[in-house]
Amino acid sequence: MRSRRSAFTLIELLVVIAIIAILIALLLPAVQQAREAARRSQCKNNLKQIGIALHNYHDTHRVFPPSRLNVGFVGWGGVAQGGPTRYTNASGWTMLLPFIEQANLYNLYDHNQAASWSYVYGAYSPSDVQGDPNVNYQVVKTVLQTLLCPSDPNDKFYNSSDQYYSVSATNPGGARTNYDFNAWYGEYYYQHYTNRYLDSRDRAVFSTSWSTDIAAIRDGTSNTALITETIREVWNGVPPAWGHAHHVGIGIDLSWYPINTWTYGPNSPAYLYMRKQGRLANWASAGSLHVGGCHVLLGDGSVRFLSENIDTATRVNLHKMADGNVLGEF
Amino acid sequence: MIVRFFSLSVILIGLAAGCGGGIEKAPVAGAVPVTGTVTLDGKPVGGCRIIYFPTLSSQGDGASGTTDSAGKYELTSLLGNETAIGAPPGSYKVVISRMLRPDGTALPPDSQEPPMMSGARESIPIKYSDFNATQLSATVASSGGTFDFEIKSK
Repeated sequence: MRSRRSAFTLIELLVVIAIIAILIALLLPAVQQAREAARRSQCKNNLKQIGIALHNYHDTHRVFPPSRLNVGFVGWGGVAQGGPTRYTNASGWTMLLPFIEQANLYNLYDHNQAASWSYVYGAYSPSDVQGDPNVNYQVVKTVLQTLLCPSDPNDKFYNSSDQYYSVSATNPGGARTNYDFNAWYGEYYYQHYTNRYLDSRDRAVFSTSWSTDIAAIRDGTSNTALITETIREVWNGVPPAWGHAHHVGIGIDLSWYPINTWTYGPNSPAYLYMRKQGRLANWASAGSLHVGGCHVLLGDGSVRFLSENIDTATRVNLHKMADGNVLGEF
Repeated sequence: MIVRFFSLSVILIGLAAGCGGGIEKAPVAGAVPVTGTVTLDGKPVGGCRIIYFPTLSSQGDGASGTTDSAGKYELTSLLGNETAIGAPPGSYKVVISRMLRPDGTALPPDSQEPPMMSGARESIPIKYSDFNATQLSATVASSGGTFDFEIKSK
């Protein structure tokens, strides 16, 4: 009697292969997205940590920090309008350092020296800068992982030295941040005019040389944005640095351009030469390289992903802390 | 043979997974000529960028133009991939912008230098130059039209 060789039939093999193929078909797209999903979670966690830091700061000091302090690049402002005699271009992020476990970095920072020399419109000149901004360069050039979105591969520094964006005539810009305070974009020009020009219903939580507290967020903390995500590459202007204010580096205005605006002006021929997917058209605008929108930190400490197709009224109402409008679902 | 079958199925599945559908942009209605004049405090002002932003009821991506020294402008827009004179009929939010360098000279409207790299700032009041704050609007009829904007610096 011949012994039967034990083996699979062709049909059995084909069935097994077919099942494996179906499983791969289910898993493959998920694997492709897994890394980006992990980066998105990390980005969300960064904002969450910043939210906890802001609330701890508020518990300690009874106010939120200002977004930037005593900026020198303004056209309206200066000493005649009640501005400081010496400008510092300091940043609210510096004040948050002890609350994101960077107390050692905070101790290195000298508050008697300016953070940068940026001056543009003539209200101040470099002779009005307080102390020597080069002293604090070692602090503001420090890259803080908590302030970087892992999905954003762009430059972490502004690499040349000029009067607009650098720390001083000899040192380039400080380390950038992917997250910045919600503030009115007009502060690049109107420093001390901001809260006189803006109706109280149009104000954002943060402002230059001005602190607010939770009680002032009359729309409710869960209906108001504190920090908005941005991209470290911008066509018109330069992305913000965390350690110092620079011309146009004063915060993010969520009520200004729609999220992820790649074209400066309308989508017409005169503007298309500068359109680039993944590069924000304008400074102080919200965006991210997570496809389809960007993260915001709300006043209650929650982090939300806003779709780039969000209703304009909702986006504007999120930015303003006391507009009095019903926010609705988003 | 089985190896071949397996690799073929993997390739086919890979191809199927890689095929995402792009969304085709719907063609918009034809543009009609739109011209006009911009005056600041009664005087024609050159070198302004005038931008028509479409509102929900109008089609297309908006249109833009530049004023000459007599303050006159003519809109151009983008329909599909073609450049068109004018703008599709509909209602628009209008923004007028004129960027000045720190030394007071105007940034040429056709400059490909980003305005903020030269330290330029807006010289038109915010109620005309800001997308959110603008009080200017235009409703383009199917025959086109002339829209003059008399803006004031105060």
